[in-house]
Amino acid sequence: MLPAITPTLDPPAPSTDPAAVPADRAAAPRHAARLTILLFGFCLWALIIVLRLGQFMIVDRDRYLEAMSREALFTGVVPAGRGRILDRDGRPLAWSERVFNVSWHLPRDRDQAEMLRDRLDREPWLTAALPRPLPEDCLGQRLQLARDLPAAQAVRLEALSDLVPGLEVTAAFRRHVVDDPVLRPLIGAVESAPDGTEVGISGLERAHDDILRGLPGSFRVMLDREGRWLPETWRKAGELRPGYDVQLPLRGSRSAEASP
Amino acid sequence: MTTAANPDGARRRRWGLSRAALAFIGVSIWGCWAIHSACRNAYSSQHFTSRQVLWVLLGTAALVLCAHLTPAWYRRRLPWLVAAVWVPLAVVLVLGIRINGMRGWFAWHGYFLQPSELAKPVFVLSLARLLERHPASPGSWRDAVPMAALVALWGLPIALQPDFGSLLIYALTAVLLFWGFGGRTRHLAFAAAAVLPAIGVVLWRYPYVWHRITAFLNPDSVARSAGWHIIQFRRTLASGGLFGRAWEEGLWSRAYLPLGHSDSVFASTAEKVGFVGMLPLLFIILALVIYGHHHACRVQDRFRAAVIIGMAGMLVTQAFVHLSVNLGLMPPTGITLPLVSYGGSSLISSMIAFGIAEAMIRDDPAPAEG
Repeated sequence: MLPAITPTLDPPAPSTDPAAVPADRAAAPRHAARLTILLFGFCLWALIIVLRLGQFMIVDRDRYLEAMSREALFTGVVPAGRGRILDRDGRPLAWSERVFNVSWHLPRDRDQAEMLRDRLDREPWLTAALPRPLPEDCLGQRLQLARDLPAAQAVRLEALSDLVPGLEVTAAFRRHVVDDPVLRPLIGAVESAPDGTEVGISGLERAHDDILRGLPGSFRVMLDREGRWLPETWRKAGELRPGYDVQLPLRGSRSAEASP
Repeated sequence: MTTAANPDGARRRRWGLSRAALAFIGVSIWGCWAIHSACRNAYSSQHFTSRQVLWVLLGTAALVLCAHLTPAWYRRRLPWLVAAVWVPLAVVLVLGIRINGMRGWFAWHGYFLQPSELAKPVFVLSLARLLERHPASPGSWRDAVPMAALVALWGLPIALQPDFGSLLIYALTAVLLFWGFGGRTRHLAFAAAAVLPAIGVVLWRYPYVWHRITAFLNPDSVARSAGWHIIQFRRTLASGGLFGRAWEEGLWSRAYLPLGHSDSVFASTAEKVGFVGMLPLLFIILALVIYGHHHACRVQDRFRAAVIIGMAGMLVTQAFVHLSVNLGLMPPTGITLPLVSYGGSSLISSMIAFGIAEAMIRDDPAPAEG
């Protein structure tokens, strides 16, 4: 039972006239009752809030999560390293080198973009080509900052990618062929598919493509509203299998001895 | 009531603050963590967090000061207080800066002041004073008309900004006090009917208000425009689940939810701490109105009772409106969660409101004035 309003410290002189009774005292129980009704109103409102909260966070959660996965998760391909072509002594005649490309999906907000650019300046070679201030037409766009970086240099960007939303480091391969005018046409050439996988298009590269190519892996990453990766959400989704080496029954020339 | 009969009052005088006030300050400190987490990576979290800490310190000082003034002081100085906050409300219409289509802030070297927030406690004081001066015939027209005029006086400059979210809080607080202290439901119905044409003008003059209402009714039909915010509220809450994600991993709110540190702070925090983690906050909000009700039914005069229930009711109403918007129970409107959302004006105003309520609750032997 909630207490009613208590009488005043200095009550006025008693009067027999009901109109002379201070309204504060006369109406006090009624106000207490109304305030209690208001209190119950707030309790009811709180109950509705708790039920609604439970609806979204517990009851309907799976339905929303499914829609969120469909719209915000990006599944990408990790290209498999292509196998080497070796001569009969095991010396490589054609081999692939893993390189890394760096791009940055800029936010649309200028202040945020400039702030993130300051963070990127920790690696000055990365932002050397970026004008200051950033041009208006760059905002919200994806810019290529560097291509064909060796792995050692790309590793240095790992910590930076946590600080700079939209910084994307993607792997690619560069195919090398032994510098021999006789063997080069025989080995043939490769070209990169859109997912980064190297595909043989001529010579031995094409003939043994199934063995050399391997199986690409996959990853899943969450995108933000502007389509930028959230680096901390990156997860491996499918295991990749590198391509197998192919050993030929022929001997490479002397010039091929310089290859790795 | 004597000190001996009120040991908590004695404790308050010795330590300066009641347990409720300490809990109130504790929630504001917790809010700093919520803001730090909501701003992680997306913007400079240090910038927002350090400023919010500064507002908490200033707000705490304001709370202590307001709690130690007497009800008589508030009665005497009320005209000056009204002038001090109403004049900026009017001046901001001319000299204020426009943010998101609303001319409601003074800006000075990167700091912003929102007069409509700081005016809230004085608005409640003026309502309480009016209720005290018109006690003879509670529920009569003589009581209702001055009340309506007072609400119009405060509401007009806010409507002209236009800040409909704040206007809603002012109106609900006035309704709560008017009805709670004897006003007739019939008068409220008349007032609502009188306001209907104004609502029509607002819908005609500001089409975005109508778009928000239609988006609220069917957010999926305008999922890429007006319904975006509502859908992201739901998804952010769903992401949190029963126990939430780790404190720093509010991924969905960071990536998709607009204003995760201010108007959407409840949803962004719920993603981190989950359903179970949000229940204590709900309990604290509800405890505030229970605390206000408990003391409003015990203090000796109508002015103090009205101020206590007015301040508690206003803060809780604002909190519940914020929660209701975040939960899709109301159309989106820019309302902050008192103490938790980022913003100095809102936080200091909440602290002042609680400090004034504490002053009314304190055992005050001085007789009420005039």
